[in-house]
Amino acid sequence: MKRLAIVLVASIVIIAGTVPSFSAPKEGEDLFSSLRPERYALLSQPEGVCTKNPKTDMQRLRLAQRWEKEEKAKQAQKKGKKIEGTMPDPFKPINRGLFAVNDRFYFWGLKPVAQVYKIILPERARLCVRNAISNLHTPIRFVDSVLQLKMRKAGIVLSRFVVNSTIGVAGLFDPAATFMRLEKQDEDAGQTLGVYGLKEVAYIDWPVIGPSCARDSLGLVADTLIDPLYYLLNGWLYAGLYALDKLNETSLTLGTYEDLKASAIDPYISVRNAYYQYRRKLIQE
Amino acid sequence: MRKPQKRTLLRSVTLAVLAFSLATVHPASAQNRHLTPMEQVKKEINQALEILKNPKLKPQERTKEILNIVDDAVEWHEVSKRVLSVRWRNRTPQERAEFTKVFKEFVKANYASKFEKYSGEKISYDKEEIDDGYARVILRISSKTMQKPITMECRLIDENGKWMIYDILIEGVSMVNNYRIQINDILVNSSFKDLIEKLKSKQRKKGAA
Repeated sequence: MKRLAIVLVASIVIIAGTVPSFSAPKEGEDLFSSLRPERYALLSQPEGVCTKNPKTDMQRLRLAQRWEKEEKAKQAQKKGKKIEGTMPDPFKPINRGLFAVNDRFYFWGLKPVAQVYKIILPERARLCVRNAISNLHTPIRFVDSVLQLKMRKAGIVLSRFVVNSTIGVAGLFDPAATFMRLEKQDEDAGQTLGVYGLKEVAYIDWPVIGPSCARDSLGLVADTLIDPLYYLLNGWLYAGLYALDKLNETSLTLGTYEDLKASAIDPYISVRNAYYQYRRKLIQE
Repeated sequence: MRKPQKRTLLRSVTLAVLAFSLATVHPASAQNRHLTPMEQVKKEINQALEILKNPKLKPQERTKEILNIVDDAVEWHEVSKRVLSVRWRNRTPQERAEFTKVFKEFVKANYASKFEKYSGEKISYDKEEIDDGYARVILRISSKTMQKPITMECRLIDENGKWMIYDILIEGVSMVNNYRIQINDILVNSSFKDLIEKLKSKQRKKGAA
């Protein structure tokens, strides 16, 4: 209980400190100066002239800000500037070493075991294992959706849990996605921290766990502490569940890592960048 | 007495309009009609799928034909420019041409085998956005073993009336960006010549495998 309270207080402090402050535009400041003429015209048209016209001032402001961002990005692109950043990697030599270790771990350990596991369990059963484990971790996704103030997502997570735990036989099946079009929502504390403005800080290629960064590692610890399972199961069982999930997932996605590695010029950089881009996209959603 | 007359009149008018529209649309302007970005992507993917499903072709022939489609669908000059990014400007025209050629062969050698892995995944065309000579088409690929569909985004550029692909993003991971970062890392530590050599040797390995 004490641990939970500490985490709660800590997360409130972090969030309160990082909430961006929204400032109103100053007088005389032209927000739309960089917009293209036709877009400028659309914004300044009186209400109701065209159906695509934003109705309220707030909508106009938001639209203008989005357009401005787009155009700045495009201008930067035209100038040949890099618009996407890169993953900061101060521990590159260590990470390269760890990457090599993980690579061997995959080819010598994980992959052969996953291949045997694949023969033992038919695909259907492995899909059920994936669904069930994912369903057990629902509280993590729910709490993180709420912390990110994504209420629609939180609603989907909750409905999925209710439907899949009952009709889906304790989460073995996923009727919520198949029949109700409620897809799984990928949310975790790493993303929550990202939404509140925390950057990646440093890339870390953890042994066994794989590509991560300082922010997402902190997130992983927070998620573990949020997860009720962590308090219900003993530590070894919880780690075992993680291992089963990893093995099961590997058996379902055999060949993906090989493909990624084969198409790269420098596999380490390719994996690092793919992780960076993928996480950025998840945070944006 | 009046009603049938009206009907025949209406029918003939409709026929005339139909005939007229067919005559004007069909033969003359079909060739240089500008396909929308989504139509373009759809056409190319369907062509590729047809080749994959064709049992008469040998694997090698299939790969070759698919790579021909890829060759036509992608604007390699734009890709190379973006992949080299800031370093493109400092290169001579010959170097640029050489890089474009080598990089194209490298990518093609890499992805030749990937198409063979297609196993009936469903492709749905989600939406397209056009903006000032650029466009993006969003597809969703789903299969039984995926927990949720994969989002794929094709970025296209208008090249004299034809939409050509210059980047593909899978789940938000841009291939051009990924190669750019890798190439940047190589060029920081070694020369342009080394890069070309590296690409060539990688491609040769693929070709042999």
